[in-house]
Amino acid sequence: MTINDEQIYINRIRDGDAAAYSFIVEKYRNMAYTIALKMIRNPAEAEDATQESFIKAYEAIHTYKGNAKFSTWLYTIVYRTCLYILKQHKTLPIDQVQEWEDTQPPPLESSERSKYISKAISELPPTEAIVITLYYMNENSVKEISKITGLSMANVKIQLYRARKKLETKLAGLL
Amino acid sequence: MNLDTLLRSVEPDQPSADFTRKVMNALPQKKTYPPIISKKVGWSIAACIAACVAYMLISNTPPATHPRHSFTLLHTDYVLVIPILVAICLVMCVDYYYTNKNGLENSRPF
Repeated sequence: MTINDEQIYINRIRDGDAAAYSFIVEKYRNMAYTIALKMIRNPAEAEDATQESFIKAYEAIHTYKGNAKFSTWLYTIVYRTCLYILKQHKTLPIDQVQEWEDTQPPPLESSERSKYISKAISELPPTEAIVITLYYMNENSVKEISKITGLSMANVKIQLYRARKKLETKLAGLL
Repeated sequence: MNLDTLLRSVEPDQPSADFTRKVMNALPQKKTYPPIISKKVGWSIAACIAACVAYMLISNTPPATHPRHSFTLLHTDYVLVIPILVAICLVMCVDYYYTNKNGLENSRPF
């Protein structure tokens, strides 16, 4: 789906065609869920948070002006929804560091290796995990990450630097 | 392998297979307001207004030769028509607003 196609679907949703929203959900569901999972760290709760975010985005779609990428706008909603859920549940304090307990050798197969790296990212503090996810997996710029997370651009760069350093140690076996 | 390349190779996590269906089922249904003025009534009102305007134009209205004379119209019965027209316009505007808000193009009187 190109950006023009996406705008056509957004216009159709604004005109009351709710079915057109399924294309948007299909396109962004994986990344939105990944962001939620990196923050909440519970698959069921992350899925609920992603669902809630999509519903919020649908309700507020008339406020999307098209100045930024739709994905940036959507992921901002996902990020804020997850923050709100975390604050409500207080299950996991923001930026709590988890210990890296994996002592097994790193896998060589592509899919297994992807899971291994994803797990290493998940072990990072949530803000660092989000920044790394958006920067590498979604190829967002520092400016876009700053918009999504509300962090300053300098802070985003610091978070990226710290996360890279930690991952270099954790993934030393793969490098 | 480079760390950047390694991180870019990670595939995003996937929610459950029926995630899209669950989202689509949970979307709020938009409230629909029935139009205040039906299509038939709308055309009737338009016809009445047109008739009133036509009557006022055809009837013997004193020609306003001087700007001062035009104020004499305020003392005639025609001035009573103005608030009625304003009220009808207001009702039609409210109807138009709600119809547009809900995207009910077919239920618009005009």
